[in-house]
Amino acid sequence: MGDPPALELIGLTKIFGDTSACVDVSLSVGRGEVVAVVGENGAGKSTLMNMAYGLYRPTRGQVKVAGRALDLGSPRDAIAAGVGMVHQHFMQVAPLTVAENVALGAEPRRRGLLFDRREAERAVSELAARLGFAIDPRAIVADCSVATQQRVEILKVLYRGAEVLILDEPTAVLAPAEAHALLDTVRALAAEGKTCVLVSHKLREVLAVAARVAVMRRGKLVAIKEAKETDAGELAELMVGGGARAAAQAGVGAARGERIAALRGVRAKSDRGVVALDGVDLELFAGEITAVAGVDGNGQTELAEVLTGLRPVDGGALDLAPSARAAGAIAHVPEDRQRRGLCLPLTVEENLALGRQRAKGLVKDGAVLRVDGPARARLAAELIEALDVRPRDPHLAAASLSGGNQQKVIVARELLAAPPRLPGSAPLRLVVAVQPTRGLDLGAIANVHARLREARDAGAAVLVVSLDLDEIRAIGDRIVVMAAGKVVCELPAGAEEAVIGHHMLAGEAHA
Amino acid sequence: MSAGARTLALSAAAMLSALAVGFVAILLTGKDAAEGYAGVLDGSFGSFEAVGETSVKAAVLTCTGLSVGIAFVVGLFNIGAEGQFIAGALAAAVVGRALHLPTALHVPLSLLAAAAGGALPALAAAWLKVRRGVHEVISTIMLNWVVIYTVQDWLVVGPLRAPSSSAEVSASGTAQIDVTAELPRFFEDSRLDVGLPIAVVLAVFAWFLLSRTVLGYEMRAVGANIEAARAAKIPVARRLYLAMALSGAFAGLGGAFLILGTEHHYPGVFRTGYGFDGIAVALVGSSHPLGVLVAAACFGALRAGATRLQLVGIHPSFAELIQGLAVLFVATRAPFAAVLDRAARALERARSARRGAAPPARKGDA
Amino acid sequence: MILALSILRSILDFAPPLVLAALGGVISERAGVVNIGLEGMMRVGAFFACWASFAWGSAWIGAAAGIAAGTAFAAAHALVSIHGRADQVVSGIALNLIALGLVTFLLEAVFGTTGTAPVETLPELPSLLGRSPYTYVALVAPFAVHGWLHLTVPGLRLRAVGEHPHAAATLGVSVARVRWAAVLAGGALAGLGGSSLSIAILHRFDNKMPAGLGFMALAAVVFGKWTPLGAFFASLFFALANAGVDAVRSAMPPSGPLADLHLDGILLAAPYLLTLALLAGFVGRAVPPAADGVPYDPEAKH
Repeated sequence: MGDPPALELIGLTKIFGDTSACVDVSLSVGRGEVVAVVGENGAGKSTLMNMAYGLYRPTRGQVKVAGRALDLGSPRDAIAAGVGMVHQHFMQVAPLTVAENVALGAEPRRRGLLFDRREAERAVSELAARLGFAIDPRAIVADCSVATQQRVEILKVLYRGAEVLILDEPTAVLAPAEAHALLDTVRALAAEGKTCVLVSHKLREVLAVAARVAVMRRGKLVAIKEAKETDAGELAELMVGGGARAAAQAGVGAARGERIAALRGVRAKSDRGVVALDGVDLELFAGEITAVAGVDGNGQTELAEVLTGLRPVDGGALDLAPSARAAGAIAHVPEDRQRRGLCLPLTVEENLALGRQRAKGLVKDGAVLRVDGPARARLAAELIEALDVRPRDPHLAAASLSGGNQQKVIVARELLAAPPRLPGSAPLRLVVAVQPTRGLDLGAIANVHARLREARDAGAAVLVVSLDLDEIRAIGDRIVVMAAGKVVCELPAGAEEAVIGHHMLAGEAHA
Repeated sequence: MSAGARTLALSAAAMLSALAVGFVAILLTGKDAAEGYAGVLDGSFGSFEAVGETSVKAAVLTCTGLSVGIAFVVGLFNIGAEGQFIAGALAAAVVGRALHLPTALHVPLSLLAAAAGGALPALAAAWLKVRRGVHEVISTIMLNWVVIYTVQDWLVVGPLRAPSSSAEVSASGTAQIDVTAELPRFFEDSRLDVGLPIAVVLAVFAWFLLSRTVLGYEMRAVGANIEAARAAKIPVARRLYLAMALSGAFAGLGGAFLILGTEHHYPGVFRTGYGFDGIAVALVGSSHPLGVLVAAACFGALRAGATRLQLVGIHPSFAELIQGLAVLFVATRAPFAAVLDRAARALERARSARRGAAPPARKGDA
Repeated sequence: MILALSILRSILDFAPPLVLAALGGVISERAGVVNIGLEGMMRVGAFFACWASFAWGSAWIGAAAGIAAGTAFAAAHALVSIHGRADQVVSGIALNLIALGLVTFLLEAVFGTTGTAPVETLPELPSLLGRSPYTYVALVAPFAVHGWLHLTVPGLRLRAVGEHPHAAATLGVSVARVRWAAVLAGGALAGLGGSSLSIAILHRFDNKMPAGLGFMALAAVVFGKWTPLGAFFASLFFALANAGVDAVRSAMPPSGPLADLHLDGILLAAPYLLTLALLAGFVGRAVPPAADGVPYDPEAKH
């Protein structure tokens, strides 16, 4: 073995203030190898890769590329060293074209200052052809599909001569077939001699394409396994440390009750004015959890918004049962927690009262509606305890909480700030939760799922939109699949992943 | 250090730094800075009369500060406090002249008119924002100029001009208000009037509204995150209108204090800048009613004492320079916050060392 | 015909301050830094241009001084907003307040007055074809800036930084450097625009300067949808409105029944009302660059 490893991480440690995000992680990856780094959310995978890419400076430790030790102060240094990152959240400038996005920062020039647009477009087409797909370099990125945007990300790093590619949760936003296409691309890259590091928590995909799997837990590297010698179950155990994964069981809920919501041929437009809901037919019943599966961007967001009254209906009929029309009878765990769910500058206690500030249990009598401070404090303490929000201080600004804890605050408020904990408020009749467990660790996920089942058993109709098929299969009493703005089919609880995936894409194809 | 104490410390640091920079600036122009500053102190607190002047100005600044502050709470930049101030002042002058009632009725009525007058341009800006998406910084500034020109170059020289003066002599303004509309004063030899206690009551009212009522909570939510507030079914547009109406009303009341308390008519030349100072007061006071009171007192003192600067050859507008610097320093929290944090840590370490325990882990140094 | 020509001449004379300041605003905001301080930058530009051209007897030096003053002010804005990550609107407002007081202060210190700088005539720039050089600069600059933004590499990077700074940063573009350059360029243009007021149009410095023109330029930026050409045409339109008002005002008889109505105030207010009406009616929901006004924090979680 004469060649130095393509990428070597030696004793990498990163400490933010009080938190150790990453402790003494060492990993060596050979040229042309595909290695996966897996772990729960918050295990430190992203932090580790951000250090390899120069976005963070390591507190301790070293990064070596092709045998040379590097001081990566910025992504520019990493790019120069041949390390490229394909981010989970695409880093694209929406109004610019594909070619402009790919070439940004390394633009071909004419006469010094002028941007050689044609050369950039030519280079993009050529790179795409080598990887086996076609792409229009003049397309505006904002108009491209998610899968295409991801390809732009990959082209970006290849354009800069990356020899080592780090892919951060690449299949998070892809349908099963698109994910397979991506894994094919990874194999093609490896065949060309490029080294790939996949950061993911999708264990089955990772095992399908990686040679070795490194497991991280709570900032430490706990194991490196040969892919051939392990399986998803063992990896999962290593990820959570011995506790068995919460059994994926569809709960046996109460029998279907009253019909809470009926959508017939509902149409609605998205924020951009494009048709998002194209004739949705759906009925939601009390005592039942309906899980909505679908590739991101097929109308699930708009469905949730239409049910919660945040988006007007352009056509068709949306009927709510009278009991669901009372103020506070509908709970909404929004997709974008920071945008819709929380007022970050306000305290945790104040956020827990959001939407319920007029409930009888939280106001003092009088001519002017005054805030009942002690009642709010009591409610806050209960909710924080119930969902295990950390830190426990209700007077902290919501902005200072981690993403996962912010999510817990929202779930606590929406699902629990109702009778009997909050007297005088209407009983929950409809719960609309979009990606409710995003950013949460296994224990918190189990807690949230339990609360959703509680709400269902108390007589609410629960709608859960999720991009995670494991969650869909675990929580849904029934599963509906959305594609191209319609509900394309209904499946029983625990349906096979392949079946769900097939409907997700078949529906899209008929768009 | 609690969040409130920290904000207070930051504002104080900003204020002191601005004064320090001003001191150096005067020295650089070769004038006697020490004597100038001493004069300012004397002119603001050095005598009974001086304290009265400071109080009068502080009262007006409290009003304009609350005006800008309450708009900030819902996330709006009301730069139009100057125009709203003028509109309110004119309204007070008109109602003060047009009626003759016992003081206990006349003064409140005139104040009400001023509040309404100030609220109008503010509501116009709110409407433009809510229904047409026009950024309030631009609309309030444009409305400022509209109000200023309309009032000062048309109404006050034309239809509302005091009848005895000729068309050319515009310096005279409107007719004197009826004596029953004058704000009662407390003492013989001071211009201190009921404006100050009323201003304090207004501040308390604002504090109560914002921190103790559901309406105030909803307003704060709107300012913190309008999307989340909307998702929580808070009637966002109505809260914006309410905040701007109150904002304009506060500014208008400030104008009324000046007219009913000291000027006793709307003068021909009346560019006071209290509205713009209100921006500085609100920012330095962190939009908190108590902070506004304190900041208004500081800036009021500065204004009252600034006339003394002329004795040292410096133009009183220097005070505006200090104000602008204070706002700039408040906006740039980072360096001040860093210094404060380091000082707080050093204090903590000193305390722990004295107690003999190990010093706490150094935060934020990674 | 003669009226049309004279109005055209008025616009060409009055447009440069608005056009230049609005261009400065566009450059700064397209890079993601809100610039409310255009008014203050114009003010210091106007004053220092007057002072320098008087002190050195050359209008060229005056123009240079105006540019330098605007740039210096912009540097303060850049320091506070980019390095200090302060609220950009507050910083702009603070700078306007400082400009207000500082210039009055200096006016008193240097010229001994607080009204108009008592200089009989300021040196003028040589006129080309009867128009001041400012006019030509104002006609060419918008197209130059447009070309810069869309055809050059720095222009591409500027647009990227204003929409998605983190994306640009991950590709190795220095967000801070691009924004600094944009803000300074904006200040230089605003200062130049301000200088045109004192040494080209009015030939004196008036303590009211720029009398809200900086904010009108901001309105032109919004009205022009944050593009150089849009801001250019919007500025021309506002200059036309101002010229129209001026024409009506000077045509008003000094005495008689029309004079007794004292309509001067309404006439003066008209351009601002027009600006508001246009912003309300024609612009619709104008969308600024996506990252406009948001301080860039490289360590923030994305």
